[in-house]
Amino acid sequence: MKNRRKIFNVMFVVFILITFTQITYANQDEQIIVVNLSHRIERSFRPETATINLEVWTLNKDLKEAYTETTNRMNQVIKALKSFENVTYKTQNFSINQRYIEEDKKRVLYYEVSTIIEAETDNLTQLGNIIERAVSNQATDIKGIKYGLKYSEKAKNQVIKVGIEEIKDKAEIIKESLKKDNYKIARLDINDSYNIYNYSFETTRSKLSNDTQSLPIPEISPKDVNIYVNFNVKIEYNNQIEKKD
Amino acid sequence: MRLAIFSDIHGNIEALKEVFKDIGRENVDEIYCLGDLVGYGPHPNQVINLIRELNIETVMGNYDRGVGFDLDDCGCAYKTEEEKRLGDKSIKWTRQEVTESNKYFLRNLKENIRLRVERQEILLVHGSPRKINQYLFFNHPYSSLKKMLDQYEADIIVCGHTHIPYIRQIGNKMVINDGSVGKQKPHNKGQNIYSREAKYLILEIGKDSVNTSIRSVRYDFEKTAEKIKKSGLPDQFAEIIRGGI
Repeated sequence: MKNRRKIFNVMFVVFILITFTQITYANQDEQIIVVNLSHRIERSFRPETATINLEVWTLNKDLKEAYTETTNRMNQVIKALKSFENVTYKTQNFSINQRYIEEDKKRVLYYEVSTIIEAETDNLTQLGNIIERAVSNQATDIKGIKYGLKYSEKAKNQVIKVGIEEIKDKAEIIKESLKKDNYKIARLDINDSYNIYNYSFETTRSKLSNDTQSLPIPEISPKDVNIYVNFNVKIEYNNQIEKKD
Repeated sequence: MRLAIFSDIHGNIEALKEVFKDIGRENVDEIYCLGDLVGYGPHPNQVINLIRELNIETVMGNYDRGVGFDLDDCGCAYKTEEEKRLGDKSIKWTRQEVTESNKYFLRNLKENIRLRVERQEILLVHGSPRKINQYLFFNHPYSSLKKMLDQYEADIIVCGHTHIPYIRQIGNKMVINDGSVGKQKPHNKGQNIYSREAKYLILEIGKDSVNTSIRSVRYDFEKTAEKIKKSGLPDQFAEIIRGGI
């Protein structure tokens, strides 16, 4: 029930643009007026899921050693994540990079082996704990956090529904201004976007790799998930035609 | 120079579209495809059309050859009678499905692509430089790979075909497998835990460094699996798409 309320308990940041782009007389006899209308609606929702990108990387002159160390450390991170309920994860990136480091005035080739996993949770209260646990279990970086909705399609449809109601209200107002009897929506184009605000939490590599103590749990305020929908509508206005006997 | 290299789409348009979205975010200079656009998957024409539309330089895969030249055999190394039976159904279905214009496109794909970036000679092939359908697995003998690199005067060989990505350092040279966009496989026989995500490679060549990343991209595999079931292709192909974790 609480989750359900969260979906509907949206913070209404409504942003509407209405423009008349064209008025044409399609047929002088029938007095049909065609109005093209652009309408935009934007709503912010409280996030319900978060995806954290966790990286483990190591640097070594020997590629095999770097690879083994990265794998072992990532296994430790995954083991730590398994202690949380409702956390799923998947590998997002594996990379081997060549790095030259100056040692005794010579450029020495090192290999940086990195694995990034995406850990997803729908319990936002445990975000800080997940980060703390991952970092204290050998994760080197938190590459960012993405927020989302559990039922994004449902939320999108809600916004579309509200937008269409607003268009109808506007169409009524235009009808009265034009002194017309009827209108019909002849075309409706909908472009919807699902915009997730990213929040990046970058940790200091050198500090983490040397720090054996557990770090304080970071304070994280989840960012809103914005959905905006653009409508392009073609509306035809006419008068009631008098019946001739 | 940043290159995105992918292969083995096998008619999976959902996976390919998501990979292109990810490539779009990766800020690459050039994109290459190592073949096997078709086979097993329900969208062979859509995949070919997208590759043609985007004008991506593509190497011929063994399956492309089989379909392009209307052969009964795709050159796949099926191990059991059941695999062979399903494979026969797949090539028959794909040959019927692919348009003549797209078959012409497949017939005219390149055998390999050679690039020179900074001072690196890069050879892009489907299976191996020797054979279109040779499998270069991650445990391929070191000496054999070294010989191959020397024989074909390449610093880096990038191949596909096995569907299992890896990065191997051979002295100061490299052999890389870019994985598969559309059809994931377990790393070992009998292993039922493997990633469902589409894989591709980002290869970054600097003046004195080579950086490699295997990207792992989520896509709507259920959509592809459903389409396979409705298409008349064997249901087992849908289960492979759904398999793994």
